[in-house]
Amino acid sequence: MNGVVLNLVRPFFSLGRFSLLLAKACGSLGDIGIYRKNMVVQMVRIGLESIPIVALAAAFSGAVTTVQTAYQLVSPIIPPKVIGAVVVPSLTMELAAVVTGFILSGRVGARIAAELGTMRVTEQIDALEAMGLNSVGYLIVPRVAAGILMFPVLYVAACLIGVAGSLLAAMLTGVVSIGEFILGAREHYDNFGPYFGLIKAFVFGFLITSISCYMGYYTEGGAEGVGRSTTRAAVMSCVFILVADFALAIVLL
Amino acid sequence: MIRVEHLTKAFNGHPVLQDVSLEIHEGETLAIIGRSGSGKSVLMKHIIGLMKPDSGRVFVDGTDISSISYSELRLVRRQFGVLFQGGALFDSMSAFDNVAFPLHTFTRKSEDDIRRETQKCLDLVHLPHVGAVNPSELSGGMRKRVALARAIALRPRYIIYDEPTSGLDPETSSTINELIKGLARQLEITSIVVTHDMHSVLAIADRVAFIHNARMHWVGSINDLHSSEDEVLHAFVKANEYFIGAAASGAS
Amino acid sequence: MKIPNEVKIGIAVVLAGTVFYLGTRYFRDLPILSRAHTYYTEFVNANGLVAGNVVSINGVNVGSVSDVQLVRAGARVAFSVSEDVVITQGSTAKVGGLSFISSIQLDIVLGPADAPQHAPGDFIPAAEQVDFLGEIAERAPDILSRADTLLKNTRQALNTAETLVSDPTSDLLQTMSSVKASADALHTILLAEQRSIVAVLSDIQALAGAIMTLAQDSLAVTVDGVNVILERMEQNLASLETTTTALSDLLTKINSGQGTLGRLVTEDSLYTELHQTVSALRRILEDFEEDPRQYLRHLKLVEIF
Ligand SMILES: Nc1ncnc2c1ncn2[C@@H]1O[C@H](COP(=O)(O)OP(=O)(O)OP(=O)(O)O)[C@@H](O)[C@H]1O
Ligand SMILES: [Mg+2]
Repeated sequence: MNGVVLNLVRPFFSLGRFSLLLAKACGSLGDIGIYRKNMVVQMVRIGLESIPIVALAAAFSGAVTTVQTAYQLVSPIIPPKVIGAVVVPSLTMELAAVVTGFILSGRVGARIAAELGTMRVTEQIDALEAMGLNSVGYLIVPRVAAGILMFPVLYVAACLIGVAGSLLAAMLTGVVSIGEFILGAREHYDNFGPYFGLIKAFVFGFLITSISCYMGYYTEGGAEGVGRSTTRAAVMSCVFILVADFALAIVLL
Repeated sequence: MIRVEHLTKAFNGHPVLQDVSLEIHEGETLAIIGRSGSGKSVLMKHIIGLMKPDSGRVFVDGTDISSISYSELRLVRRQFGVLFQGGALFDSMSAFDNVAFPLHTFTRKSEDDIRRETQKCLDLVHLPHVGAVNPSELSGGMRKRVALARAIALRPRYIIYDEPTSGLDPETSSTINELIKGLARQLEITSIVVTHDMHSVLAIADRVAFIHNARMHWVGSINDLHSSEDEVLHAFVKANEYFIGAAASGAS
Repeated sequence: MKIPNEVKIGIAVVLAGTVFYLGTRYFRDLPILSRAHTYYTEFVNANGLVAGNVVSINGVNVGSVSDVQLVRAGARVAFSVSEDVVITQGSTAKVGGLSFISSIQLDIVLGPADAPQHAPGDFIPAAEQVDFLGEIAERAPDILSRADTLLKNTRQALNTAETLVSDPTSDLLQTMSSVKASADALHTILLAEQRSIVAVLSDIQALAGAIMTLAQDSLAVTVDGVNVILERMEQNLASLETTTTALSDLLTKINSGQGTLGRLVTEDSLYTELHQTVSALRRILEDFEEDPRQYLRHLKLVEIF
């Protein structure tokens, strides 16, 4: 009975603690001195160092989408330029942001949770606090800010490389000429698409880093606890990316 | 002056500290002793506000630290240097950067000054050459000493040492004891030493607080320690003194 | 030399911003480096024009529609055009293209070359929209509803035929394999609409093309042309009706036992009759398999010109 109640209350407890942590992070935004240097480091780690894996994923997403669209739409009455009209918006509005998000849930989210979790269980966070430093400002703000700022950059890279991947796939398989692909993409171009993707990138960047920071910051129970936090950070980031993806589509489209 | 009043703390319904009161006078060195798991580290974390008491209060220089804002609490904490039991060195930085970190963060000193002061702190703990090494590559005892160097880098008014000598060889232990004593004398630092090393207690402490069964069982000066009739305290001290005596006779 | 992290991040952010800016302009058909000017126009009927559609002059893409808004008198359209494209006074705008066949677009018909230039932000009037095909649209539903019922009947008849033929307990199965083949083929045609859609579409495209060229010269000729097409449609429907009736009769006979197995086997004439009917049907359907409602939509599209 008690266990049931505890399980019912748990999500609210987590949400509340998460919100308080964010509030504390916002409260320490003014203290630029303590996170400026860290933020640069995090921007390199979260942003620049993720470009290769994001590029790889985006290139393959673009190529696969192109080949599959061609396969599904193959028919005498549908002009091949439709492939461009389908693939480019798929990439800019959905795939570039979501695939990047998934990859970074693992790459960035797990890393953040493991880092902060270890710092928590080895009392390094206590040590920061004991010095009179705001550990949230020092550890969490730079990571979340780096996520919010660098994710859109990764998104743009994913779009660029995704379209390049589609064009390459189109060229190699010959399903559609590059000229027709571009023509289709331009004819059915939606002005809002890339901005929608950009908004998603902002939101996903925030979700992944803040959820992972939360998981890491409140780690309990030694090495095992760090492992638990790490897994949970990656899984929860993915789950909330999906939820946010759906919510944004409903609200903004 | 630090005053702990009727502090009570429980974890998951299991009481760790019950109605603990304690006063730490300006400039003295107080040793908190007790069995492993008796709540010494928990008490120490309450003193710097890392844990919130279930009931009771902690006063630092007259301010109740559980009722002040976070930014005020941080100002209070800056007067403390803390040596954590496991060292708690930042493993993303070299040993040198660990010691330099508080100087970088809280002072406006030049790079050169910071480098000089950091080196001085490392010399004090007899580790002049480990600066470039990462904490993970240091031995447990070395880590503790680097952490000690970090704790004293800012010359705080209060220093809390959580088991500064555990895991160290006798020679380094006595160096550390000397260091703690020297710091206390020269800089008029108020020191709180959490330990179960009676040798260390006898060497450095002015007063002793003994935690037993979650309560503050006995508080008194070093001299009272020997004349005390308290059986539990005696048993605890005896167990240690036997060891000290054995070590002493082994050495002679 | 080691590049500071700050510099790397700065470069990445600037690159991303540039790629985003240029990329969106590229896919919006805006000139990548020169600036674009915005103009406005208003239509009574925007015909499904949306932001992002191409703006074209003489068949050359020069920009894109940036906004389409509902206003009291119709639709207000904002569009941007590369700054080095000169739009002279007296130019008109119209919605072109068939949204079913390809994308629709905004066509600008330039005014006299020596006329003064429109300033950015100017209003470009819409070309007069001719409603000469309204008449066709009015007539169309009639024909279409007839076609609808007819096609339904045909399907029913064919389904009956097929059930009959494919019933494993029926003796017909063995003897009428050729009939079944025909019926199968018919069914395939009914299902696979693609080929006939192609036919219909090329018809419509030709029609649209014809109308486009004709529209400039003479309204009457065009309407005549359309009427001819409609009459042909009516003829097709009539022959379809006859054929379907014949098939139905035949099936009724088979069903009611008049066409026994023996008779079918011995009497060549009945088989021939069935075969011919089915072939005739196939021919007509090949011509006319498209769901009749599509006709109406195409006719509406034709109205654009
Ligand atoms: N964060 C925590 N959550 C739950 N229980 C805790 C926590 N911190 C300490 N405890 C419990 O409180 C008790 C006292 O722990 P504490 O670390 O103060 O012991 P100690 O006196 O410092 O022992 P040692 O000499 O071995 O360091 C232990 O039983 C421990 O399990
Ligand atoms: Mg302890």
